[in-house]
Amino acid sequence: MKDYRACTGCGICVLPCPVWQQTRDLSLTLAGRALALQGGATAGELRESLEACVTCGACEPVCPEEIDTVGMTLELRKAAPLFLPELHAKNGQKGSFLPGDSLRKHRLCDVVLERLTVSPVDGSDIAAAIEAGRPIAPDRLTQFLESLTGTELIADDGILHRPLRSWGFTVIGLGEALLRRRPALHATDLYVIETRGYHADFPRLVRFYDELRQRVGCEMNLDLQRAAIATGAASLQHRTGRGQVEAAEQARWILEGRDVKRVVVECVDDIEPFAQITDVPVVHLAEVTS
Amino acid sequence: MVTCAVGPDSLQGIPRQQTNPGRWNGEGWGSFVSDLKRQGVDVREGRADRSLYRTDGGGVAQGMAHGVVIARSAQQIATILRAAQTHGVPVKTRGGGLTTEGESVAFGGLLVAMNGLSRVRAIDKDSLTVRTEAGIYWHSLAETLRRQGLDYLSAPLNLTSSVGGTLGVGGVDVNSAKYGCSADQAVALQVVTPTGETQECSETENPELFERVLLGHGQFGVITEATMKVRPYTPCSMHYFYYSSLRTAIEDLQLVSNEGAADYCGILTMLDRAVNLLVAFDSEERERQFLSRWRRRLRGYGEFGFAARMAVHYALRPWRVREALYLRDRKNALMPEFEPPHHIRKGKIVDRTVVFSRAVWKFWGGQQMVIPDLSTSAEKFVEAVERGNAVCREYFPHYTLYCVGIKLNGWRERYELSCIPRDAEGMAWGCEFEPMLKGATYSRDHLQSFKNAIYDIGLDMNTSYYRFGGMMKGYIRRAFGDELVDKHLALKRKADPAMILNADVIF
Repeated sequence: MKDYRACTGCGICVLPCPVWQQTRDLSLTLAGRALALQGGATAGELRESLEACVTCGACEPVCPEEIDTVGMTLELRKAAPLFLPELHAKNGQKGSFLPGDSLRKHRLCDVVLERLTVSPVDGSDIAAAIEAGRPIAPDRLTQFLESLTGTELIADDGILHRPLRSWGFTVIGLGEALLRRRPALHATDLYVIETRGYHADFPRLVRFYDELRQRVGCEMNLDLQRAAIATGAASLQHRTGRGQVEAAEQARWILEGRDVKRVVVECVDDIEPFAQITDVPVVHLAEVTS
Repeated sequence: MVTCAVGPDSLQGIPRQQTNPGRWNGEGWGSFVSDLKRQGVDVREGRADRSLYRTDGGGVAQGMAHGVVIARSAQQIATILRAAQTHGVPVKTRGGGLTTEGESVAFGGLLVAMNGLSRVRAIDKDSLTVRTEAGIYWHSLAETLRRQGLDYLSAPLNLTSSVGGTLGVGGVDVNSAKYGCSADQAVALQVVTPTGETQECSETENPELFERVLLGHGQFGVITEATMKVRPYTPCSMHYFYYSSLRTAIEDLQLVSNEGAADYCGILTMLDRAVNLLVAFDSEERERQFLSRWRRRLRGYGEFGFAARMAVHYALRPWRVREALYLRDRKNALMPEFEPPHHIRKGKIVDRTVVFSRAVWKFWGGQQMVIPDLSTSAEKFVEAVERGNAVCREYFPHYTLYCVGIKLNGWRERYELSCIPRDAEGMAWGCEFEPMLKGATYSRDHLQSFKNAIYDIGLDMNTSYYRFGGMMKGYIRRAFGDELVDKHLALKRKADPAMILNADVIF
């Protein structure tokens, strides 16, 4: 894939960007970073922009130049890393399911484990380090990779999908895994896709979710480009109270003009922002899966 | 004095400087910024903030603003323009920045990023109008309208063109033969004049300002809000007809457009060998009417019939095998992009602007783009396109022509110094000549020489142009004549005494 030098400034990547949606400030977007770099700016000068990005990845599949937009942002973050909370991974487990940091601490984690009948592995420290642009100790990485078993991994945190694939694993998101069990979805639902995993495997998943949408008839958090609109609630910044993107505002935009009876989310982080702004039930996909 | 950097530093430690003594070069900048900051305007002067606006969609003109302001309100823009008049600092407004001749590039002074003003104010489903802030991208407007089952009438095939910028230059779509240019969709505008007064205007309220600002290239005010006509959203069904003759395809384009046989109609070519006439329909009824009444009058072929003809053509001309392979590869790459399954429902395309715009950028976009054009009356169109095509062949191995009709609702004052040619009646006709520059390197001189050769055709045939501002402004007096240009210059001087708003675009 290409890097920032290939950016033509078309600006299509800003259209699904949550940071753009809320700030209308080009300098805080992927396009702004690419154009500033072309103009001679350094990663240090882009610190504010790098801190704003929620790495939802929506910019990547819509880029006509096929720039590795997420990779570019994560690489730049290495020069201006995000605040990283101290995370202690539970070592010694072996399995094929990686619950994200939020799900791991959530009551629904047991429900998910019951539905999927899988063994969990803790990779939340790896995911956070990747997202923050912090180095991962080689020993810890080796230990982590050795703990992964099975032919197909299920990773709840979409930030892990790309690296896991680059390390040679087959990986799907929690949403896809639960959808295989045919959950009870209705045409009156708003179905909220986990954005990072979706955009990381866009050519395949755009068809997968399009088929679901046609079959069920439900609304989804997709824009006209078929990028998934993120609340930003799953981002490291949001989880550490440093986010610039108001997740509830994003949820409001996703719901605007849509008449739905229930919100079904793939990512537990998305429950709260929707619950804040709507009276209809907000449930996790695992709760409607038997 | 703050000297004016004109682009990214070419050599480390040696900033490129503005050396044209005729241009503003930093006088009064410090006091201007102090004045603005005192009034609460956030002026960004860092390199990262300024350099991301250093060029436009064309990528040829390079310039650096001294500072950037993100537009937040009409009041803020009024404050800026009043201060600019006082301090004599140029102000450049920029929407999507998709100009190609540097019209939205600031060569020093202040750049106002208008897309900070992007809220949709109100949608009136009864009167089928939308009131929106003018910095919004057309695609963002479409996203909001679609949730209400609505769509805009017509806009450029660029998702990130801004409403305000488009209204200022015209705006052409493949349905412009039905609806006219985008500027003609405007019902009312909120405008901040160059002297900082905020005014509402329409055909009945301040009509002179309304007519000056529409198609006015940002010379007579900054459009901060617009009320525009909208329509119920419909998916559309597409048909493609293929021609090997430009003339025949253009005659059929004119037939379809003049007789209102389709809701969308345009020509897109691969060189001048594979000429594609696109027609599309908003309803099955319209499609049926076309197929029964007009289809047999068109001389284009279907895909397979045309492929067979081309195979025979090139079999008899083996020395042109490279051209044949180019056309085959180009077609194979392009067609799937125009029919992505997730944007198709029951054979109809559900997001045509997304599909087209993405394809346009993917296959025609690049670090540099030059898109000279000719805008003519019906009688001159075929000759203008054929002559322009000959120029393309001379300058580039690969290029595309894009032709559409633009409906006119009588002659309007706004057309006076615009892309609408004086002698057009009922319909104007436009053709863009776009060389494929991706992967190739051409000098600026070569590109400029190509544009001049196209525009010289316009002078010879007395046509107009869509892109006559910025680097092409040398053609304005020759194309429109001293009398008309002097009239507009006098109007400009009256409206903008310090000549600070969008300098270098027209005047």
